[in-house]
Amino acid sequence: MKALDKHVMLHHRARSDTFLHAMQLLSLDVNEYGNAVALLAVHTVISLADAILIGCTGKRGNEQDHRAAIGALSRLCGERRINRDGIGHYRWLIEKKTPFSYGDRRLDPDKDITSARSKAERFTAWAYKHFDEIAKAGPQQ
Amino acid sequence: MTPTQRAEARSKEPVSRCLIRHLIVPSIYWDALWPASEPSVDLLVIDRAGSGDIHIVEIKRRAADAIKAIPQLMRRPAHYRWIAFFADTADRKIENALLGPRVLFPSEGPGRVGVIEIVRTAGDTLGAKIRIPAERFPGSLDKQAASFKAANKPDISFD
Repeated sequence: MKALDKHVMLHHRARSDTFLHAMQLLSLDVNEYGNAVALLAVHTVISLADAILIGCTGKRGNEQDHRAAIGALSRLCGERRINRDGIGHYRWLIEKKTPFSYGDRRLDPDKDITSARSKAERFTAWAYKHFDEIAKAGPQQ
Repeated sequence: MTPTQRAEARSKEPVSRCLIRHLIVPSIYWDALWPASEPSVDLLVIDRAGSGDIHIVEIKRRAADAIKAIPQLMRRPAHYRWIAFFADTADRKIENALLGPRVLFPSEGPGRVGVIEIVRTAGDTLGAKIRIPAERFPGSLDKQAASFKAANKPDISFD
């Protein structure tokens, strides 16, 4: 990984870390902060996907279309022969980004909010298990 | 099981939750043989889903016993070392020792043992919070961690 790529990767990873921690903290009071939990779940995986793509390919995802990262992550998994389990969690969250952000429907505490948190955590665990470039680099905390 | 053993066993869960709040989707092993040749350590926590830094935690009911456990904790490989004890067992002498220059530090080099306080709240529920943050000890433990993960399943993970 080039020095500049590493620097940018660490920036996106750190952003994902803060979104994840904020999501976990706010999820202690889902009734009050459920909408924020769901949105932070989405942004946790967007930032981490950017970190993965920069760390492994030198190119980040399209900031206007986060669905494009699904294909890029899938290709990366194919090249490295690793399972694509995490991509399913990413896809679920990206498809919910607009309804979570602007939708008229009230979010369901279990189907939406708890699921969003769980999928963000599972995508994060999958990412760190499979991509040493983001797991081992830089400060850990 | 004595009341002390019960309290220490029950504390594994709140101390795990405490570290989950500060780490990133860690893999947590209770009563881990780390290293295999030593008696088990109460918690072995590997950050970033088992790919990151290694934390170990020794849990004691009494603060004085936790401090006595530090020399053995120092002999185990880890990037971060922690002691945990019930907050109501720390008297003035313990408080002064924790703030002093010797108890939590290695004889040489970087690193500081962190302190986690366990508290009993309403309904006999246990909670835990970081009182003194741990500071990183040097070293690479990738090989030991890989061997350990191949032979053990975490008690808590985010898969």
